[in-house]
Amino acid sequence: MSVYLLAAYAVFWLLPFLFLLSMWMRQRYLEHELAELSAQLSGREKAIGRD
Amino acid sequence: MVRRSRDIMGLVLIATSTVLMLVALLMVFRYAPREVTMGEVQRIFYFHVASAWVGFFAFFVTFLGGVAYLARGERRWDILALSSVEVGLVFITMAVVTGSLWARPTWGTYWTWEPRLTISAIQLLVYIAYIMLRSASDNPAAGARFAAVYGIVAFVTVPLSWFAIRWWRTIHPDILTAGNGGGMAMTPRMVQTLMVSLLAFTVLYIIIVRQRVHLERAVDALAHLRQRAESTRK
Repeated sequence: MSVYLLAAYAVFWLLPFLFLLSMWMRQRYLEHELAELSAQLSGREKAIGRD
Repeated sequence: MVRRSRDIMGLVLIATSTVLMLVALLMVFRYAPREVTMGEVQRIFYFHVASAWVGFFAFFVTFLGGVAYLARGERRWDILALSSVEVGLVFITMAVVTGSLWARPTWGTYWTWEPRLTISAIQLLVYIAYIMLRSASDNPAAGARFAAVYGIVAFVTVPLSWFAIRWWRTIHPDILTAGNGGGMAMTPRMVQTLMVSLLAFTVLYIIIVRQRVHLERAVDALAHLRQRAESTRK
């Protein structure tokens, strides 16, 4: 099999994979930030309610 | 309920895409005949054309998203336009890189400044600039409006790239003029393989764009929560 053919099909899999991986990593970071902020906010809002 | 139906839709799309990709690969390597003059390397063509098609389609979605955003001012259209540009860039990069890998054994060079390739390079830079300009904007509403106009204007590179091989003298093959001496003659099996590849890549595009839209909504939710956190601090 031609080395160019192999390289091309490697690119077809590699590029979308890298893009999906970067999206997944951004998603994980965002979910972590969202959970942290939500917990902080609910704690602060409870404290305001108590005052 | 809405989220559950979205999850089911996502699963259906992933299953469809997996099956279509496997069928496309089988057809490329087992069903489509070996091209007489180019040989094995011609098999790059099926996924190369499919990725270029998805890139063009993605930029068309950005164009539509830009028009809808300017008409209605709804953030969802801006999110769709931005998401589609990013995905389009991935697929156009794939088309350019694999085109070069095909060109080396066929033309004897990885790159030549002929019209189609030159316009593809310009198109890549134009849409990279879209992403860069967007991230440089301090005012989200103004940035979104500017991006909408930019996305509409930048779309001119798509018909230019499409017609480049018909308007100017070029060495790039034209599959539509096959048989008239202007392109690569395709057998019915080759056409069927190309069609399945186009379909497989289109479904893959829909999956990735949906995921990218979901990500951008999470960015918005985080920004909203940060604002709330700021206001409770005061």
